[in-house]
Amino acid sequence: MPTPELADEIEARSDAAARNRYLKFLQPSLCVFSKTDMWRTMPVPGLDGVHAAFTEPEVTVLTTLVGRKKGHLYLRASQRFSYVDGNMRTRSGRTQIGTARWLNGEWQPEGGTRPGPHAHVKRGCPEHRGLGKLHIPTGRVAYEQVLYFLMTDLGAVAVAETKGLDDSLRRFRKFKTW
Amino acid sequence: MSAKSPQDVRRNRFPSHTRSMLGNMKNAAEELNQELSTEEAQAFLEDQTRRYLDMSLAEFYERAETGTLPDDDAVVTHLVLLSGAHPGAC
Repeated sequence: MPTPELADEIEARSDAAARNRYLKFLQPSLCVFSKTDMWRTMPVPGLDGVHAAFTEPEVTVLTTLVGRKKGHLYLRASQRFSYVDGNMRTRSGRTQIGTARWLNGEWQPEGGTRPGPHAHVKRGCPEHRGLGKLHIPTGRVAYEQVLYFLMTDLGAVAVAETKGLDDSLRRFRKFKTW
Repeated sequence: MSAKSPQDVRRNRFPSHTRSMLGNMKNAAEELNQELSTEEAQAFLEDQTRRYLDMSLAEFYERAETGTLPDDDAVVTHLVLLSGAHPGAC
């Protein structure tokens, strides 16, 4: 019986198993801020072999506490992914998840106008007209890193221990290929 | 009386009714984790475009193709990702 650490190394034997493992690590990260919201997946219409993960409900409401002032943040997150044949990337005949595109990083490998991970800031803010149109390079940013940012810089309050977030980020760093 | 094998011990760790309950819980969890079908995905996207942008999914695709979606709206970016609309829209 492999230890949980070693089980990470073994590629899933089917698409469904790969998806379950993918969600198994995404879900605890979300659970740090909401005990009821959950990740779901769907095929992306018209794009063969491309799938998307999204949260349900689509907006997660986070409570913030800065000093003694309480507030709220509204988080919407989604990711594109595809099933990658182990033959092509690692070992034979297995399946792993390859994340193609992240909303929070807005990478557009299929051919948008900016071919690398980038962020838009102040979108829709009339005082900073035009700033939101800039594609500010970011490098690849993990969903878990965004959640840490929300906690450490914006005062988002965790409703559960952050071990799930730590585990998921560790796994992201270990297995990311780009 | 012969000693129980590790397999027997593992198999009989829980009484039968508990095993049945655990099996049902596992099935329910797997069902919850199942991916949406293409039809369900289309219905979900239709609901989202109507709720947040007050337009049908067909209109959303059309406006993405012609580059006339609002480009300052995070919801648009989100729905472009999920819907597979033309990536040039963002």
